[in-house]
Amino acid sequence: MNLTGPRLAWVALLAAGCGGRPAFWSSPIASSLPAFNLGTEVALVDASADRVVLLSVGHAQSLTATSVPVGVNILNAAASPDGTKLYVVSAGHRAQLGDGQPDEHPSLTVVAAGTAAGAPPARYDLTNVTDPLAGLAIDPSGRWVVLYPSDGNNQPFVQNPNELAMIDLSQPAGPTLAVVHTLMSFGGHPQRFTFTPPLALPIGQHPLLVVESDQDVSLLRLDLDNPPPEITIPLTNGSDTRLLTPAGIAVYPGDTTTGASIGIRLANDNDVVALQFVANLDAGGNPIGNGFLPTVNLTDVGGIASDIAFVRTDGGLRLGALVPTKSKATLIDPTTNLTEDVALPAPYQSLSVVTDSLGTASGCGGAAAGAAPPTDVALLWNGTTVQGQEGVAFWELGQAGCQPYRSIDTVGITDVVADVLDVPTPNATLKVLQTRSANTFYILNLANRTAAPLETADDNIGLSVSPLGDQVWTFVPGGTTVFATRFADELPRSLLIERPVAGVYEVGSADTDPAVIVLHDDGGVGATVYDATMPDDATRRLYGGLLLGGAP
Amino acid sequence: MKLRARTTLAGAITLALMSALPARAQTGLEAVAGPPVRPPVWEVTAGVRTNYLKSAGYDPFSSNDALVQFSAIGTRTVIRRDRLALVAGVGLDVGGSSADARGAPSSLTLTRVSALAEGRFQPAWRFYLFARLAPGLLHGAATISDASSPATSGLTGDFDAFALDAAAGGAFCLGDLGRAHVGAWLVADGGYGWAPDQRLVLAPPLGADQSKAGTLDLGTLAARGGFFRIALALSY
Repeated sequence: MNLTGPRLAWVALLAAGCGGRPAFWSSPIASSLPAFNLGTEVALVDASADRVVLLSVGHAQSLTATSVPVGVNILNAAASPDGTKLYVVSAGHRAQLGDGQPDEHPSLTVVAAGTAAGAPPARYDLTNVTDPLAGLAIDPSGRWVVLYPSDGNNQPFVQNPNELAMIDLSQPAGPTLAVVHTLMSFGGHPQRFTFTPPLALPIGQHPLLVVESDQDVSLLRLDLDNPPPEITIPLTNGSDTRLLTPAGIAVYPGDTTTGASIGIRLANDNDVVALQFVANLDAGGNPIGNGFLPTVNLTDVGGIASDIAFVRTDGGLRLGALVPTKSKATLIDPTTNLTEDVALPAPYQSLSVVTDSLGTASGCGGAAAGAAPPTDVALLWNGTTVQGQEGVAFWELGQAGCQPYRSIDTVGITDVVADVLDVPTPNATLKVLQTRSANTFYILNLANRTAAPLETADDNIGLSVSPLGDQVWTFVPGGTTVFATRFADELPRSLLIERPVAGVYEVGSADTDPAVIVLHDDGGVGATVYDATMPDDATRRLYGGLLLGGAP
Repeated sequence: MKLRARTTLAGAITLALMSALPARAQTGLEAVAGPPVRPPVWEVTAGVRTNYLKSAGYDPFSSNDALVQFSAIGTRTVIRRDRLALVAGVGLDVGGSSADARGAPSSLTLTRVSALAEGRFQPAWRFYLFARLAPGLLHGAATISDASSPATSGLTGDFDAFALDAAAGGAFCLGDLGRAHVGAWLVADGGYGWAPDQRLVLAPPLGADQSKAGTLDLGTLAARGGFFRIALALSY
């Protein structure tokens, strides 16, 4: 064999090409990774590596990244309403002939807080689902997850928009048969899912799944092995043929004297719908179908309702609806359909019942009404256009010793409040008000009804309330500014941050002091970790390449 | 840089072969006058060493399992008995690999300095076989230029470890060069290079603030595996 120089070089080059590496190293890190604060860890959904990375903090701001493998081809991820669990839906993989990647069913992986400390994640392999469903609805009680068709990549070529795959998480993890159900379709597409608490129905206490499509509402029972067909309520106003689109619901679970009720506001009609329930039994007292039927009451509130909530007034339970186009609220008696309008000083668009946050601190009315039936205090916000009255207002819904009946008490905030953040105990009587396009945020004290302004140099700010309820973190997304403001003294303290900020997450653990993880996401993923209680530049630690470790 | 090095090597091999052609033409004369190239006493070798590293710790730095190094060896024959010889020398292997680790440019450089002892068997003047043992020091330096690193230079880490090579091969004389009859040899050998596991922990170089830097643990790098080397040697 005549081995000339070039041939020898080619032999070396070919030999050098042998071998390979896991696909992990060739999969780039996506920008703007979804991140979730699970309380003790920050979960990063690293979709291109088919895993979740949990960041947990130990002694002296040490940061540990724990890789949790999930099903391949992640479609969606969402945290539970209480924020302690992360649910990850994966499409799986259908292996073709000669495919080196093994066949894998669609799956749901539940990553709970504490997984980084060794608790294994629960993975449910959906053996009877072939095509991926990306929509994800989570039962606040933790028992059910519903998958439904959604827009996005990796969705099947042909899909039934009314298909639901319901997964009972009370069963052991592993191969799982999802309860597959097709909603009776009148042409609608499911838009929102609400898992109710147990409702006082004529047949007893039962939770329901309320599905809002773009033209009707369906009610499903999930607490039966073989649930009867759902009840679908087409939405029309009776005066024309328009299909009405639900825009949100409010649920009253019922009590010892009042049955459950569901309120529905509409996106394209002045009516508000109130559902109540009557028994549906045969002559022998046996349930027919679900055993109950809804009664539908429509109430014209004079404009499109922007928000609704069930409130307790001293006149009884009412469905409160905000009508910003009329700068008013309407109280609807769900039983009689009688209404009462309350004029508002601004076109508030959002309503939050803050009675529970007030506790016994309301001072005027509210839950501290002695032996009288408890009544609510509502916070009205997200007003627009009326200069000087855009901020927030308290709406007293009960007879008060120092306030007139159903009075509106405005707070001197001159900015439009875009969001209201809850503050955990021990400062539950505080709310953090995020403004829209204003260089200010507020700490609202529900007890004394004062709002402390905190001015910022930028109107594009992110806010994150400490899970300990002792401070609020303020940052500029993409900037290098992070401040902590303690509620006790309302004094801002800055952190020294040297990389662009993607998010700020305060986490705690039983073993160490709480820490704040300032996430950087500018090409790679890094973090700056501070002691959350006593932020000190001298003890901060900086981490880079957080998603480069933990290779499979 | 590597491509340039390989091109240079290919050129050098070609030149060596061309320079060897006259030597082949003189073969008939040599049979009468004796071999033009005497058995090597001093020898310097330069070539390319390709290492196979199957370690998972190497994956961030290469899209395959190969690590190519420039290899240089200098030897002197210590003892010669007829066709057998004992040779001692020193070797230097330097080179590395670069790749993208999830989009972040990464590189690993391995430098090995070794002392070597070699036994040779030369059945003909144009050809000898050898077996070599080379204990040495291995220095590794890794860098990942992750954009999230607190330092602009990215994340770096290095290590030093004992290393041991065991190899065997052969050399073929291409001819002689110049009036001094310097021998030109094509040398090929293969073997196994051993080094202990190294924990690859990278951190941003922050100088006096190093205590503020968190680390990135890339796992264990086992910088050991089979290798082969092709080189050109000049002997005198």
